[in-house]
Amino acid sequence: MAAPVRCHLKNNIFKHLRSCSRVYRPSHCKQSTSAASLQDYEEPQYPSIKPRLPPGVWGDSQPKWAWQQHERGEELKSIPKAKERLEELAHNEQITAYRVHGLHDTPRTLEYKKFITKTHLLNGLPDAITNCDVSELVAKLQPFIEEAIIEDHNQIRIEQPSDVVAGEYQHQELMSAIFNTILTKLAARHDYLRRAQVDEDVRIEAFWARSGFREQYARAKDNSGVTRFNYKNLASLQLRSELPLPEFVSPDDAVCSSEFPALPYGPHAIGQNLIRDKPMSISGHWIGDPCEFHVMSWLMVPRQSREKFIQKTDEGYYDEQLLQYGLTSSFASCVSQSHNQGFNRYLDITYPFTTQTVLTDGQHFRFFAYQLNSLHIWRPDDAWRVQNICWASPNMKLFDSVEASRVVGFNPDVLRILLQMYLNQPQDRGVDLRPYLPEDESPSKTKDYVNVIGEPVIERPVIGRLQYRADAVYF
Amino acid sequence: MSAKNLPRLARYMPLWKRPIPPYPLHYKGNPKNRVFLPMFWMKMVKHWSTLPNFMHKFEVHPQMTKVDVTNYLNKIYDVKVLDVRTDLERGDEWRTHPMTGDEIGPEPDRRVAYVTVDKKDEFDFPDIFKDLAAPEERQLESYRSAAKDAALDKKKSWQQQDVPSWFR
Repeated sequence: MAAPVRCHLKNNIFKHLRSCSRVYRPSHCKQSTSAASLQDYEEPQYPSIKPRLPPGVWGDSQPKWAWQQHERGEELKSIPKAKERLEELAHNEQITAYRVHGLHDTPRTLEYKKFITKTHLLNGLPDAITNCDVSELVAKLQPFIEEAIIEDHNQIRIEQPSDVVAGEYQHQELMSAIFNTILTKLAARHDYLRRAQVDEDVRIEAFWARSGFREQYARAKDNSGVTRFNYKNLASLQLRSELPLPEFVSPDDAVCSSEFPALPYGPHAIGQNLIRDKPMSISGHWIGDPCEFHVMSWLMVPRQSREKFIQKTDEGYYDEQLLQYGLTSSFASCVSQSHNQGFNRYLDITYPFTTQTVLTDGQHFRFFAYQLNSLHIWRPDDAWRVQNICWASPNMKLFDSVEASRVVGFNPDVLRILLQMYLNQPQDRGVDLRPYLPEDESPSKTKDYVNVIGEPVIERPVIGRLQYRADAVYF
Repeated sequence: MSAKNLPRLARYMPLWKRPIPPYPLHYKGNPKNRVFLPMFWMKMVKHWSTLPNFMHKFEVHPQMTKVDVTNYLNKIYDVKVLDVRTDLERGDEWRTHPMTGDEIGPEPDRRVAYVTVDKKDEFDFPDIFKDLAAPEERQLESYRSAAKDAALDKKKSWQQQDVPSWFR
């Protein structure tokens, strides 16, 4: 940087200017080029021309902004460790975003949620789940599930003799009982379930960007009108494995690149609020855990929330509400998984991420399957056609009621889908899971973890006091 | 209540903007007051940005609550209200009169309600002044397009500008 000129007299200014010879004497005047040196190069050599736009699909984006995005991606690629890359993102990015609400959002926001996650919604579950034949297992496991239901019913009757429902989360025990009975019965035969991890009340956080709103809002955007979103929630139960689930549909399929409808209004119009927070991505476990991929997550939907919602609205709108809740939570789960593998907003995923979600209160069940095909949903829609896909089942009842210690109206179809989801086995897809993290090996290869009683706890590295920054998020 | 007893600001306020006196307390067993015509009012207004067709914006009396808004729409107009969000909008600030130079006082803040409604009550705000609005602007637009064409023509035939257009 040039030193500041501080002179009071006029003469001194001229003196200073004379000394700045660089300004007044161009470089070609300093040295005269000799004819011999020019003859050495027969063909004239020019510096390479920088293309207008960086590699990739950019559409109508401004070149300056496009190059900024590209360079930021290259910058993040040079950070070798996954944790440090996330730390860099958390501290050095803009932090104003729209908070995406889950269950407790205003009604009629399904179209909006589909748009901000760029999701194509399909009815029914994918063939990869429903093709599995489990009729024998259903007959075998039905008495165990019925027993869990009766036990939960009796417990509630003892605690609260009146019909008034007091605790909002009283059916959580029934939910975890169903979850655990299926898991323990199946784990004897299936190795991947023995090696899987189970957690309760895990944090799911995701941060992403989306373009395509007709009206751009100044406070939550970049230079080119990319709007950012944030999702925070707790998953009641989560099952994680060392390997990812198989993909439900090929990303080259016509469904993944069909035309995506535009949204005429923005998040501000329907009262979504802005937050200021660090852009963090948390997928329910510490980074460095061997089980990094979500097999399924169960989300508690308290029965009171339904009653409260239906007082004002309608049964149909509550159905829609559950649909958008399952969609956003599955999307956030996939996004947080991908961030642990070194992908982020700038570095797009190279293989699809998948997850399964169950919304339940113990009696009513709703099943979701999600496939994340691209994180680059901030690219213009007409140029970048790739979209994510969500499959959703209708609302199903596991049983009607409990009368005289007997379950009335048990629905084996619900148990069938549950078992099919458990038996959707994670596979080695034959792709490099961490293409942008060549030096940071996957922890599932270095650590051995089996979910058996008496297993020693995984050792965590001792963190030195000045090893990382004081306000570190992930350490 | 005579205008003499009102506070100074309220005296110049139109009747529909004045604060509503508190509703008489009801004790159990006493006869109930029946409201045949509410003292509240609501005015449908257009939002500065596009709203979805299931969401309407109203300017309401500042004393109205969310429950009042739902009851007003539901009981009088039979509109099924799913959700209400209220907000306060800032009124106009002090400004000077362009002719006299007098200072015109600040407008009071407005309360607005964004109402989410059922499928049967969806409504698109009509653009009434689409054809009527600003004939001068339409004139200007035609002038601009003519100027653009002339500039293009000049670019195309820059050598023959001195000849009439028929010969070019």
